[in-house]
Amino acid sequence: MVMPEIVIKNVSFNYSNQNIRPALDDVNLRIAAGSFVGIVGHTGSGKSTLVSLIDGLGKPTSGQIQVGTATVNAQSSPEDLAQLRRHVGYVFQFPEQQLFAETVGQDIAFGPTNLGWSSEQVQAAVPEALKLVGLPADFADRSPFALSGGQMRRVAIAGVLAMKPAILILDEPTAGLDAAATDRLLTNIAQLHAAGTTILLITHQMDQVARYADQVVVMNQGHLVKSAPPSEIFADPAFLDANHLNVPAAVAMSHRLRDAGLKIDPALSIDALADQLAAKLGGEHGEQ
Amino acid sequence: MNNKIVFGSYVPIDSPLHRLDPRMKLLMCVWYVVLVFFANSWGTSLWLLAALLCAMLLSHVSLRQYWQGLRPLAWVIVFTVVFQVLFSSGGKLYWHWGIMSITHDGLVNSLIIFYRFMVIITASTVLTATTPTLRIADGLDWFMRPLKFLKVPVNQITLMLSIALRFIPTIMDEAGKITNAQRSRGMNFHQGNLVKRVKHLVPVLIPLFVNSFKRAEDLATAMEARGYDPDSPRTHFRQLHWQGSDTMTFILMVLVTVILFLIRGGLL
Amino acid sequence: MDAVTLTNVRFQYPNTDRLILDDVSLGFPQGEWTTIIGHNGSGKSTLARLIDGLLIPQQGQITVGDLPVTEKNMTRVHQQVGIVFQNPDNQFVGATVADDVAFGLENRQVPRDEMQTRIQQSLAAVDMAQLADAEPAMLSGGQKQRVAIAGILALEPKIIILDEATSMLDPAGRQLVLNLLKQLRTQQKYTIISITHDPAEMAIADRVVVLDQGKIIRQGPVAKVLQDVELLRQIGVGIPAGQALRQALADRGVAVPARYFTEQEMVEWLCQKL
Repeated sequence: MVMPEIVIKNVSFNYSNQNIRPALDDVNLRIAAGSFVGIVGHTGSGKSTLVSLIDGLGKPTSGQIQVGTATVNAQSSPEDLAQLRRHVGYVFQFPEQQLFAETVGQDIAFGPTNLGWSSEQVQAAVPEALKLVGLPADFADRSPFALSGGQMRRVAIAGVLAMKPAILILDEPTAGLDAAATDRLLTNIAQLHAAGTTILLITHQMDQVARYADQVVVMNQGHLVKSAPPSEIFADPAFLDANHLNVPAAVAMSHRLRDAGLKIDPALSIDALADQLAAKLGGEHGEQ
Repeated sequence: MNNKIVFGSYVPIDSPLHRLDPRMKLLMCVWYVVLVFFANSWGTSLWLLAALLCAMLLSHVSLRQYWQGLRPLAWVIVFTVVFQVLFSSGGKLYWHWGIMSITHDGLVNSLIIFYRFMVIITASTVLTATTPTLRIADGLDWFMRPLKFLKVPVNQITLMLSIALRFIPTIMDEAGKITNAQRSRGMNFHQGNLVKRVKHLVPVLIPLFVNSFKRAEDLATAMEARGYDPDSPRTHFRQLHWQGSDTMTFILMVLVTVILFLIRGGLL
Repeated sequence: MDAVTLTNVRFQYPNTDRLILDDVSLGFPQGEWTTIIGHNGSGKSTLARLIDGLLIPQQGQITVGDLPVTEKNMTRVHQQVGIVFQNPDNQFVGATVADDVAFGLENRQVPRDEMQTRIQQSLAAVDMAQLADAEPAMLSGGQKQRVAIAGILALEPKIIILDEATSMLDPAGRQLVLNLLKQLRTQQKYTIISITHDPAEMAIADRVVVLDQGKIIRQGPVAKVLQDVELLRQIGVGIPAGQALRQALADRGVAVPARYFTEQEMVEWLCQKL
C-alpha cells in the first residue's frame, strides 16, 4: 500500500451560519507520509476542528481535503467522508471515556468489525493491538471498567490501533497521566512512528513537541500561522508568546544563557543542552 | 459550539415577558393549557391563538426562532395527525383501504389535535424561551411549598431538578464527543434497518451512563465537602420578586379566561 | 503550630484487603503550602478526603486546628477545610457562577444579605466578578476551578486542599489557578495542601511530602526533597527542569553541587562557571 499523504487546500469551516468567527479560516497544509507532526495552539484555536476534518467527521465549508486517494469537499457525501476514515485513526482526549464493551477484547474488536474485516482478521488484530500499547494479551478477557485509569487509556488507544491506521491522530493523549505513564505512552507512540505510521499529535506540552515532532503546525484563532520544523518554531520566543504557546524548558534555559552572553546553540531537549554545556564545562575542568 | 435553538432552550434577551416573575409565567402556562381544552369552536380557538400570539410578540423572540425550536417536534405532530385522520371513524366516509379510512369526524378530530398540539407546545416554548431553567425550578419550588406539610422533600426535589438541568448541556456535549469517537472507529449511524440502528446506540449510551455515574459520584462528594446535608435547613440565594407587572398579567389572564367563556357561552 | 495533624492514621476501603494508608503520622504547618506527590494509587487523594472528614480512618486521629475530625464535628470541619477536585465540571453545582458560590453559603444557612457581599468579595478575590452571571458551559476549565476556589473562600476556611485540581486544565488555565494560589499564600491566612504530578506545581510549594504504598517515605522543604532526582524517578513524578539539567550535567561527569537548583539558579550557576 502506498503511504497516504495529507493535502489540505484553502479549507474553511463554520460550525453554524451565524456571524461568529469561523473555526477554520483558509487553511493550507501538506503533511508527508510518515511525519510526526505536532499541532499546537491555545484552546479554541481550531486544532481539534482541523484534525476532525482530516478524519472525515465533518466536511469543510469550503476548500478540499485529500488523504491518500480520497478527496472531500463541501459537496461530499457521508460515504466519501467515510473513505477518509479508512486511513485515519483518531484517539480523542480522555479516550477511556468511550469504552463500552463487556471485555477489553470486544471493545478493541469494535473498529475492525465495523470495517468489515473477517473474524480471523479481527481475532488476530486484538492481541496485536494490545501488544502495541504494552499490555499483555490476557487483558482481552478482562472488563475494561475494572482497570486503572492508565490501563483504560491504553485499551482505548489499542481500539484505534487495531484498525491499523496509516495516520494516527492523538488529542492530548497524556492529559492526567503521571510522568512515568506519560513517558511510557510517548515511547509507544515513537515506536509506531518508527514503524511508518504518520502521527498527528495535538498537545499543549511543548516539551513533547520539541522532543518528538519533525514538523510543528501552529494554529491561532482558526488560522494556520506557521508550519515548520521545531528548531525554527522554538527559536523565536516572541512568536511563541504571540500565539499563546509555552516555551519548552530546555529552550527557555538556553535562551536565558544566550541572553547572559554565553555562546549556546538553542537546544530542544535537556539532554542536548547538557551535551553542549558539558563540552564547555568539561574543557574548563581539564585546564584547572 | 452549537448555537441553534433547540426545543426548551432559553433565549437570553430582555423583554417584558423575560422580566415577569417565573411563578406568574408558570401559572400562566399551566392555566393556558387548561384553557385550550375548553376551546370548542372556531371563535374560542382563535381567541386563545390570538392570546398566544400576543405573548409571543411580547417575548421579543422572533417567529423564526420559535419555528426552529418547534421543528424537531414536527414529525411527532405530523405522525399523530396522520394517525388520527386514518384510524378514527364516524361521520361521512371519504375514502377507505383495509382498516384505514378518511372520514369527516376523523378530519375534524385531527384538526383539533393538531391545534392543541401546536398551541400547547408553543406556549411551553414561550415559557422556556423567556425563563432560565433555574428560575422555572425556583417557581416550581414555591408552588410545591405546601407539600412540605405532607413531608414531601420539596427542597431536595428542586435541588435535584436544578442540578439535572445544569448538567444537560454537559451531557449533550459529551454525547456528541462519544458519537464522533465511535464514528471515527467506523460506526455508521445511518446504515441498516431499525434494529441495527438501535444497536448502534449501545456504544454511545453505555459510556454515557458510565460517565454519568462517575459524575454523580464526584458531584455527591463535592457537595458533601461543601457542607450539603439533605436533612438540614438551607437559606436561599435566589429570591423571587412579585411586581406590579405580575399582578397586571394575572388580571389579563383572568380577562382572557372570562372572554373565552363568554364566547363559549355564545354571549360574545 | 500545625494546621492539620494526622496521628497513626490507618485506612482501607471496605471490602478490600489493601491498606491505603499505613500508620501515617504527619503535620501540615500553618500558613505554608505543602504538596503531596506519589504514584497513582499511593493514597494521596484518600489523605485529602480523610482531612476533610469525607472518609473516616479505621485507626488513628486527625485534627484540624484543635478540632478532632469526627462525625460530631463534621459541619465545622467542612467549614474549615475546602477541597478543589480534579474534574472542573463535576463539582460545579450551581446554574451560574454566583449560584455555585452561593451553594456552600446556603448549606451554612448564611442570611441572604450577607451572602451577596460574601459572593462578591470571593469572586473578586479570584478575578471572576465580571462573570458572576455566566453559566458553566461558557467557562473554561481554569475559570471553573477559580469559581470552585471562590466557593471555598466564601466560607472563610483555614485549609485549602487541591486534589489534582490542575491536571485537567490547559497550560493557560493551570497558570491562572497557580497564580491565584501564589497570591493567596502571600496573605498567610490559609494552609494550602496540593496533590499533583506537575513538576512546576511542586516547585513553587514550600514543602513536599512523598507518599508511596501508603507510607510517607520522605518529607521536607521543597529544595531538600526535589534534590533527590533518583527518588522522583522511582515514584514516577516529573523532574523540575532546573533539577533535570543539573542531573544531566552530573551524568556527563560535570562537578555540579549536590543541591536543588531552580531553573533560575541553574542559569546563574552556569553563567558563573562559564
